[in-house]
Amino acid sequence: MGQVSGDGATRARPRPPIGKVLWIVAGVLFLLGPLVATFFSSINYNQLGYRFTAYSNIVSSRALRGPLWLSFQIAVLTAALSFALMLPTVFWLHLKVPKARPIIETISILPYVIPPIVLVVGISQLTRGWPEWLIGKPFFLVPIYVVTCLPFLFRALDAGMRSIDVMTLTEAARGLGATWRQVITKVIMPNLRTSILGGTFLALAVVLGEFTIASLLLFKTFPIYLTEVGQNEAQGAAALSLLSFGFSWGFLLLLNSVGKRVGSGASLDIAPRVGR
Amino acid sequence: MATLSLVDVVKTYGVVRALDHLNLTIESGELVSLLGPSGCGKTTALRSVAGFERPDSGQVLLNGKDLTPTPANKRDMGMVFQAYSLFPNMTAAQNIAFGLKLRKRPGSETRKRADELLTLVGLQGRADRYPHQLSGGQQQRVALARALAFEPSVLLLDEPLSALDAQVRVQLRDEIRRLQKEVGITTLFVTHDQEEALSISDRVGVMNNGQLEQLASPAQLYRHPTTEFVAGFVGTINRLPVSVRDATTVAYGDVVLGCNASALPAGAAGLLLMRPEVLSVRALEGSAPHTSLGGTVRAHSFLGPVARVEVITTSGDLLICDLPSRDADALVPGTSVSVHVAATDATVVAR
Ligand SMILES: Nc1ncnc2c1ncn2[C@@H]1O[C@H](COP(=O)(O)OP(=O)(O)OP(=O)(O)O)[C@@H](O)[C@H]1O
Ligand SMILES: [Mg+2]
Repeated sequence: MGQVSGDGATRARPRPPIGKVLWIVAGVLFLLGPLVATFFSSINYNQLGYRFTAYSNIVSSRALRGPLWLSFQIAVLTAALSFALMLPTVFWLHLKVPKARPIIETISILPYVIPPIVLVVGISQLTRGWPEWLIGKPFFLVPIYVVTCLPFLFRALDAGMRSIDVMTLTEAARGLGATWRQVITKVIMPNLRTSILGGTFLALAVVLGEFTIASLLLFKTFPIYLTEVGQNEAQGAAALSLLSFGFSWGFLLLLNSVGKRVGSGASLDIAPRVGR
Repeated sequence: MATLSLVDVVKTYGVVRALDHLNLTIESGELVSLLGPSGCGKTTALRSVAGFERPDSGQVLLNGKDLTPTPANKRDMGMVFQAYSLFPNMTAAQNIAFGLKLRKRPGSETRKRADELLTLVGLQGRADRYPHQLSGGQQQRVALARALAFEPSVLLLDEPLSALDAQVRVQLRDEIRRLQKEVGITTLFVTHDQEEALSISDRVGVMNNGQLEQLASPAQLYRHPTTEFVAGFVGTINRLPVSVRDATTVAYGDVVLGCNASALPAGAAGLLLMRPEVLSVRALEGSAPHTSLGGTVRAHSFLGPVARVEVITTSGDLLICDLPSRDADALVPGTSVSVHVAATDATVVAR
């Protein structure tokens, strides 16, 4: 018996790594391939050879800063507003009307299946005659993007809440004296860290990549700027998309490290603050 | 110190009447268990007390004050749940401290109290473990400590032991009782395990269909059940159809048996209830005296200290008798026997 299993172990050990390594290599190629290709096209100036002109142009370009900053602000506002709306809603759904979940899930997917152009037409109809200071500002995009992000955020939050026993945790917290607000901020949110991060990332990706709506409503966001640049200069567009990709990731990592600190240390850190 | 009462509480879910005019009072420092079959409304009763369910009518009173308008987070009750309910993102100590932090107690006091409670539930040194690093029994101990930490006036436990294995269950239930007595907290304990209820309670309430059938001390409940349901639900019971003759005797066929029948009018149809261990069985020569039950041994099983002898009476009813196994050796199947019961050991209820 001992021998057989010993044999099995020694024979089995070297085998899976080959398969695993192959899979990892394939995965890395699949994920990094497009990035590497984009990188090369961003530095390839055919006859002139390889150079980083596109990047230095971007860094020194004043024209970029406006759209990028705007998109960033819109993204953050969208994510914040989305969570402010969706977190309590999905929480309530899980706690009080779990039977309605499939219906809400179906409804939540509508913004995804309705083409953006239809959405824009609908919005223009709705907001006809509204004051210019309201619909003329690019931040008018925020509520629209909140709707666009709904399917992703709902799924992220829904999956998160299904992974914890919302009902028992809530009742435990209520029984210990927590207000509804404290239940959400001190118990539900810290246990949904992963899905909140995932949802934020999806919202950022949606906003930083959304072209149709912004273009139809004539707002100059980052993706609009990107296409404009791309029409004039291929290398610049490639460099910009790489940078925006890195930008999203950087932001995610930042959120992650912030989230980690808030998530794990919170309860003890809060103690002295509450005590004072 | 707190007295908790449920007064005429009704709670329905659609057509299901989960609580049907439930009345119950728990005295200060007392541990009362609610015992009953699945679906009888135990959890609903407890959740109504905790404020997680709003009764359709009736009141929950704490020291005479109506709690109906008080939300769950203001009710000052510690609760332990059947499901594991520790906050996964907090350590054992942080879980225990949660209620105190919400009450804005100073950090030093909070920490001291958490340590105190960890020691009280036997988990000193485990303060920094996260729930997933604790066993089920340890998690429930922490949950108990968390429920007691903020010194609530009432402790509510909904089958806190049912997810644990048998050995831990027995150990922890004794510990819950010890702690409850030590703290002197008014406690409502819900369970469907009769042994659990009988072993740790001051009084046990047996529920059926949303109503309280009987509320009494464990011994009283066991020895003198007042309804057939209670008798059948708690322990093993023998039932014989009888008719009441007067306040002290009933008739089973020709046999006249002594018992306290004052609750029923003469001539009423009743059921005579007797525990297996109160019956004495003797091998019979000749015919049975008319004050004991005649019958024939049907089966005999040896259980160590006791032997269980099944007797079929001459009228065809089954009597299960537990005897010291030494005395039962001769009672092999087929033996004619007489079965005797003392008047104080038999109870009559309406049929
Ligand atoms: N939220 C609810 N919606 C509908 N019916 C419910 C709900 N909660 C309880 N019930 C019903 O009310 C009755 C009493 O339920 P309760 O949970 O109080 O029983 P229980 O005595 O605790 O049972 P168990 O031993 O199985 O836990 C049951 O018939 C149950 O189906
Ligand atoms: Mg229950």
